[in-house]
Amino acid sequence: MAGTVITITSGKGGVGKTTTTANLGVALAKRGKRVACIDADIGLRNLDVVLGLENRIVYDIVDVVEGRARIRQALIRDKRLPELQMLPAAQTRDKTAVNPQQMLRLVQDLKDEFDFVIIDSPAGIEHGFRNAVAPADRVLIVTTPEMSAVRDADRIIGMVESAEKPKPMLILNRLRPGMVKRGDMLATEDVLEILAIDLIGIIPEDENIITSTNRGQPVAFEAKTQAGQAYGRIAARVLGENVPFGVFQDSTPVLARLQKWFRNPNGGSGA
Amino acid sequence: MRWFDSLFKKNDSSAQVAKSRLKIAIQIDRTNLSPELLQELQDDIVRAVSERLDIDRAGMKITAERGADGQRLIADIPIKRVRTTAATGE
Repeated sequence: MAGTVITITSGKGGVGKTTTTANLGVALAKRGKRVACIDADIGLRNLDVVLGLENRIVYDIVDVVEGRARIRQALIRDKRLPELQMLPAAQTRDKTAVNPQQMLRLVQDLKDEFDFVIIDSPAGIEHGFRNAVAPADRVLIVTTPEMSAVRDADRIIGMVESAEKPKPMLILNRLRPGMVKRGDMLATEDVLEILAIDLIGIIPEDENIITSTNRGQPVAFEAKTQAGQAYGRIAARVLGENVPFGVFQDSTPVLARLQKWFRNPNGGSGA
Repeated sequence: MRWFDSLFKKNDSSAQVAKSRLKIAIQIDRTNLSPELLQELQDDIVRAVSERLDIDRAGMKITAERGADGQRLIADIPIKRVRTTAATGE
């Protein structure tokens, strides 16, 4: 059976597309699915560092498209999780180096060997976005509960629909439950009402995302973190499981420090 | 009591302000017509109307106007005469 192609996109930059791609890839691979993550952000590649695979790049997506390398040579296998592989973007070219037809062909080859192909779309609504969406079977929109991100998400939803793709689903990223409770952040229901779209997951703001990215070890590897568990639930929903949407606790800095101390009491600074 | 109420009333919260501002901004985004689309619409309308009516193309005006209740498409088409033998489209 051919694999499913999932494109992660947003419109606005900096809302967590790459982090989502990496962690959904890890979460699905942890469940035994064969996953290929593709960095479609040509010229601004970052999926490699988020996954911690930046030192192992030899060939990239443009090398494959232009015939200098076979796709097998360019894919990097994650040693921690053999089911997970990554195709890096080119860093020295721009988005016009690949066109949607070439993306379709490339992804078609991968679909035979993988259960999931996850494409990390670049920000924007231009060429790079069209490359990333062209091969998609499903599109997941990432937004944060901020005005500019939600507005851009609405534009992108319209463009995905006019590309005749199935209705996209939403990942609400960096939600801060305490602020929502105080009425100082758009709530999940507000965002869903405005965008008229179904939810596939909520990722709470979690400092562990920054520290895990610092180490090149996506948070989805860490089953004890709120964000890691949230990505696990998204993976389950992608696999068709009916997982209830959780209620999150605010991870205040004090609480986070305590949690860290309990996890690693000898490694702390003593502060 | 009013200050007390306002402490707990969600209508003034920044999230509520964001929500209502977003709804308006997105409504405008969604109904925004590009000049190219407007031209295409004009061509479509001319084609449809001309099946039944003889119209004054030079005097017609298709515009998009934003009012208090949103964006609307306004077609102002001077009619020269009604075509008496209705085209069947065959």
